[in-house]
Amino acid sequence: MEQLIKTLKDQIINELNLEDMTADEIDAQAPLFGEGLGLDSIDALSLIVLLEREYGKKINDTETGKKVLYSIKTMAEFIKS
Amino acid sequence: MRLKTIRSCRISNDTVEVDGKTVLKTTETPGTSKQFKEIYLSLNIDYPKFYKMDMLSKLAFLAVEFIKNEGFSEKDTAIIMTNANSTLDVDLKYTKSIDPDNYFPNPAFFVYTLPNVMIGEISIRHNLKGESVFVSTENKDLELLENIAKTLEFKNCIAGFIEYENENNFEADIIFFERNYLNGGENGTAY
Repeated sequence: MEQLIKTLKDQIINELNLEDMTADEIDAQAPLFGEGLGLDSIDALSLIVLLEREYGKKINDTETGKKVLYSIKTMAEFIKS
Repeated sequence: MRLKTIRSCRISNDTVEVDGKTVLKTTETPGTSKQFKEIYLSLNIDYPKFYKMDMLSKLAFLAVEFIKNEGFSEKDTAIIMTNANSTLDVDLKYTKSIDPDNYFPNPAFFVYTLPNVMIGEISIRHNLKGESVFVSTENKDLELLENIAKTLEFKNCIAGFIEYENENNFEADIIFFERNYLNGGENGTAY
């Protein structure tokens, strides 16, 4: 799980163009939206595309999306499920 | 007639000036994201969304952080920004992100491909909902700012020139002034 979280952080940094942020600066358990990284709806789309493209995992409804995209840790748990 | 500045900030090369005085000399290469991060960290603020912004919005965000004051008003502070190259830097990054086989460009770049987005970032950060304008202009033009300001409703205004073409051509030069000062009045409040 630790390695997956590290990989996810690097992928998110790349996908969202957080070029001057390092993986260590991202709290895996912090909320991705609102607080934490302060992501928005466009970023949510990017993360959904990332999950599908890199891990073959699809989010099919809004409720699941809210739970899965809460934090990097919940994303990793969804990939592992 | 000239706008009477209450506060000002200029960021260029390796220097940040506030009210005409140097407040920071950076060590990272000027115009790079590392330099902007260095300036951000010097402010000792916690605003992770900064890292998501394109270079133009980062520059605008940083400059306004240096002049923020209790005069900022949700409904009564206007924002006027100008530059010569609009969002050219992120436009090029967006174009390069288009996959020749799959097309799908990077949304993280797309959202910054309008110059008024930097005004939006400042507005979100400081909860400003006053009038705002972006104008593309070849050079810094104080008279233009003044003429635009005369057409807007506001109590005070953040205005200036925010340019980010590339690492070799970037500058923030902004001022904060009150309407009372617009027509040469001397009744404004200094912050």
